[in-house]
Amino acid sequence: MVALACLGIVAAQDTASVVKVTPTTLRLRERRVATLALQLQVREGYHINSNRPKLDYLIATQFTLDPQPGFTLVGLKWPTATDKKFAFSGDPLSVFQGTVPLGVELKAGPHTVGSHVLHGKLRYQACSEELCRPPVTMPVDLHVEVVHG
Amino acid sequence: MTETSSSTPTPATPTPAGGKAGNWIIIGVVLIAGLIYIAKNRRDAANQRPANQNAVGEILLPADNPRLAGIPAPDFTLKQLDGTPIHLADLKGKVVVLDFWASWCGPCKIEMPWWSDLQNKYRAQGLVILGVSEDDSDNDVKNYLQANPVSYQVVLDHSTLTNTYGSPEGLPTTLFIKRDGTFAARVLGLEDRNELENHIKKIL
Repeated sequence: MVALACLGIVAAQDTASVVKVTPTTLRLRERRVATLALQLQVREGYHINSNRPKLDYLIATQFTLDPQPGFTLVGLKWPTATDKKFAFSGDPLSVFQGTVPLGVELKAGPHTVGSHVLHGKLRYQACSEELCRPPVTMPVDLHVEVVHG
Repeated sequence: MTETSSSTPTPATPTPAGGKAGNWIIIGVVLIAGLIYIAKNRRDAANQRPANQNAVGEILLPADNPRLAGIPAPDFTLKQLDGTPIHLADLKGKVVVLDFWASWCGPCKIEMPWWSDLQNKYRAQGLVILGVSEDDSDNDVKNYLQANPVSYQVVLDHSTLTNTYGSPEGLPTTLFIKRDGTFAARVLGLEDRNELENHIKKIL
């Protein structure tokens, strides 16, 4: 029974998302800017293109935020990408691997005190040495607690 | 004085081996047997499904899909970069290789020169290789092929095949189709060149 369950878990992982996002909550003050630390985890053996890939036909990793009254996406803090050479590329590619910390800078406007869920989207395209997964756009919810400034 | 007992002592009732543990073992064996029985019945039922019921939307499922071999390849019409259509039905009698690729797929680009070589080598024997691009942008395909020309035809999917073939789990994905129009094999991911050639030779 345990063996069958393990096989099921392994099989499920093969088709599961290559990138997982750790949910997190940001507390920020009204009318102030704060940075929400999103943690992306790229499955071992895979890489995703960085936010600035070296070739224009490669699909960049992108994060966008749906408009939400009272909130402004001020900016994104991407980590330093890794320049890595692969068997299939003549020149090194700019990629993210492993744990990818993404800073999402948010500003809470007036009259936003309380709990909010902001809806974002993470777009990425992942490859291993042998296989490329189709591009993915995954929803990412940002939980925000706004307190009085 | 001789004592005699009015009744012989009752032998102790033997307890089942392992007691409760034994019951759990039995339950576990029954459950496993049941699961095996259910799985076998589902597989047998699946093998008895009509071929077209298997084909819809499931062609590009994992390579160990036992229902793929022998299934007729659903017909499709896809266009080349210059707009010329290619109908799979017109290729009956040929050995057809569908190579799903994209300009953003690095491993795909390792295989593409091999496909060119194999197309040239076996063209006279009736091999037709179709590179099925999963790019959203025709310009990306055009630019890539201008810099890296291939000796086989390239067609643009634009999600046309999704309904009948499903979406590729990954790229490259390769489907091998026999002369009678049925699938022979499916390969997911970068494969050894010799293995790809062996797949072709088996059905030539």
